[in-house]
Amino acid sequence: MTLLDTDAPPFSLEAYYTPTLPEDGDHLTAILTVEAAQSDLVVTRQDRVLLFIIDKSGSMQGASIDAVRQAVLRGIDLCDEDMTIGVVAFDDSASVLVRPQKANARCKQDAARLLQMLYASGGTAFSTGLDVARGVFQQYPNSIRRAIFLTDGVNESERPGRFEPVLRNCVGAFECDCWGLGTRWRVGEVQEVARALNGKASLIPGPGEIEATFSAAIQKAASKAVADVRLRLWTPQTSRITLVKQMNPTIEDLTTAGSRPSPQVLELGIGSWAPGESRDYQIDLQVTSGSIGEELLALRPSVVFRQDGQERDIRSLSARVVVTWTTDEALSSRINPRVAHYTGQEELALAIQSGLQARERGDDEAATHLLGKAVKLAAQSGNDEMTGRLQRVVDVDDAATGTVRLKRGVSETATMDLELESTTTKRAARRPAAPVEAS
Amino acid sequence: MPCGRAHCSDAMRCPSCGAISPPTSRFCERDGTRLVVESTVAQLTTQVTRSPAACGCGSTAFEEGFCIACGRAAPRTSQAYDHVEQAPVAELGGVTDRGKRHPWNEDALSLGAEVIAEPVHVLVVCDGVSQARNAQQSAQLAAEVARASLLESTRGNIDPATAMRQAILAAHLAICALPDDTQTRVDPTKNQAPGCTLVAALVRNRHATIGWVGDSRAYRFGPDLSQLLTHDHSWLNAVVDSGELTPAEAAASPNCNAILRAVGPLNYDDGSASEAPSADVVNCDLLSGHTLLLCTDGLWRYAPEPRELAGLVRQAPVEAGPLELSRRLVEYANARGGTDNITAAILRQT
Repeated sequence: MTLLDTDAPPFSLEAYYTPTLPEDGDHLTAILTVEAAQSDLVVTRQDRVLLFIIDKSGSMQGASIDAVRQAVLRGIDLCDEDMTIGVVAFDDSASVLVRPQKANARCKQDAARLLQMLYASGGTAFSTGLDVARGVFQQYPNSIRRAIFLTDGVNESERPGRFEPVLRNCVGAFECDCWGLGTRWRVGEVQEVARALNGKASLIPGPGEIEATFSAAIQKAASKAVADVRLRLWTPQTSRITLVKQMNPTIEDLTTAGSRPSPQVLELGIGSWAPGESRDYQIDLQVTSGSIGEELLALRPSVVFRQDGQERDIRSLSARVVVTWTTDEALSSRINPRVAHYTGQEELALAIQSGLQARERGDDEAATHLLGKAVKLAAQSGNDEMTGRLQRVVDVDDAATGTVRLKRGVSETATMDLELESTTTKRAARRPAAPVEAS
Repeated sequence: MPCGRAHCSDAMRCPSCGAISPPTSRFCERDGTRLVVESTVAQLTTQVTRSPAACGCGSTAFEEGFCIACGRAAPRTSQAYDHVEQAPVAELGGVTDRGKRHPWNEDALSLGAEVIAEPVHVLVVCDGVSQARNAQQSAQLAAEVARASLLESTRGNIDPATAMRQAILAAHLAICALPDDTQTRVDPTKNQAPGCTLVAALVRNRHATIGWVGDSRAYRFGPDLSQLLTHDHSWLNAVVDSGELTPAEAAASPNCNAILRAVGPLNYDDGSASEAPSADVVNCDLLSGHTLLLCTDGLWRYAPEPRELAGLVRQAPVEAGPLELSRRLVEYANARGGTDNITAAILRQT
């Protein structure tokens, strides 16, 4: 018996795991796929605020700062007129260069005039720009708050003990994708900011690529429809979460990032979402083993967000992790394909990172072995983008066996880019839609 | 005079106007409507909503079918309804079955027979709306309350069509008063206000009165007769009757199985229950040798034409009673996939 379907859920959740544990089995891994509904109509789109946080230290002078001016102005053109746009500029101190305003023609005039006055000088202290941005975003608590952060240098002008507390304060205040321009910045420093703020760190090779990069980032910010989404993970007293990671689009360890509103609930901020956006999470569970045939609800995930002042908690039957114990080893030894896929992608990321480290310290034998393994894993999982990036640092003799030779004279850009993108995974194959069945 | 206590369980509440009458009343003191004892409804409600026993860990709090303390599966009372058979007298019998695909049986069946001056038979079949909360409970409660109300009506001098409408109204009000089954509901997405289909027959003196809401059906079969007595309150019938779509076009739509009317607050956007569901009632003769079949869509979708079901009924050996015949119909649907819950109830007129 069915009714006319009038109310599709704004998010769908589905868990992938092996539902049968062997006798005495006490741990399992599940992949949770969260997908926002395609249709804009399912939720009311929230207001969107986008800030550019621009490094204007001395090294930006010349082509870089000119390109930034151009890219920001072109970017405002791309924004819907109901988006709010602003620019924060920092060196060893920071200020609001273009105050946040709707992205209309007047905004563009204002921005053009103000950006003209942008003059690059001084040192680099990320915290100053982040802190000013946080102050601005505070005025928009119910909006989608995103920033685009750009630097070209090492974070060397910070007052001691200032960076960490400022970054901590920014967590949850806004989301931030970060870019390093050129190669004279540190991957770890920029990654730290991006990771803390639900964003991604990437490389822009030179001033000529700023505009295209910003355009893509603005389109991403403009596509968002709902802010401050949380992943709520409920476990019974017999089950404990030992690890939570985002596995796609990038690998991010979230195990210690969450809050515990109650002993049985772990909540993770998963930021803003666009219609149709999809992410995969890995959740490892330690459970009290049960008797053969017993059924245990080991995890019940839900997606929580606020709509018109009301909290909505979206659950799904197919997202629940329900396990049972069996003596049939053929059942309990099966590995879910989606779990296996991400195990492989993580192995790939590790091989790249440790391979690059080995090459850095001059251990060419280890580097050849590890990067060869990465080439093999990338080929096996069909991660063609990663294969392309790897081919900029190694010559591949045979991808299937992982036989490679280290390239000489590899550009710093190629190395940094590979390191930054090593955690970008290929999405697990989606099942074809289930056939509709009369009931 | 009523006893005065607002919720005196022995008081009689009028299903039409809501007025309370004393426990001894057979008719509403305000508008004369035939009454069902409130305590009967209360008792039936308790019967269908009883909580599962305590979990092994000692907790009695369940959500979505699992213990909220230790996560173990709640003892499943619902499995008791996976397959239920009833045969109160030799000429009357029925079966409700979970089928092969659904995790629960949300169909329900209630049969009754009494001799009041002459034999009286009552058949009720319901199908819970699966996206709604209390799906299993509302179907069971509606079937039981309608049966009780119809049997009660035969003790007075009330015309059967009115008795039928009152029985459907009583079932509706009982569902509206059902407590939310959050604790025991296994599927949290089943969160709409509850509702079910209902088809009922009151047979007395070779005369049958059929009432229905939704797409559960009644058929009459005889040696040269195979007749569908009901007309589904379905989206498909609505668009075909209005000429908007041809039957073939309508059958291809994703809405082709949707119903437009149900018993219970489901009908109303705000979950209120101020109005009774609009039921249809028909009368027909049920002569010696005639078979009356009530069933849910879990059966008739596998045999949409009346002659197909008639063929199945005629194939059965003469000695097969109504219970055996109902089993065969359920087996027939299960053998073809059993994609839905299946219910069949049969009266063989002697």
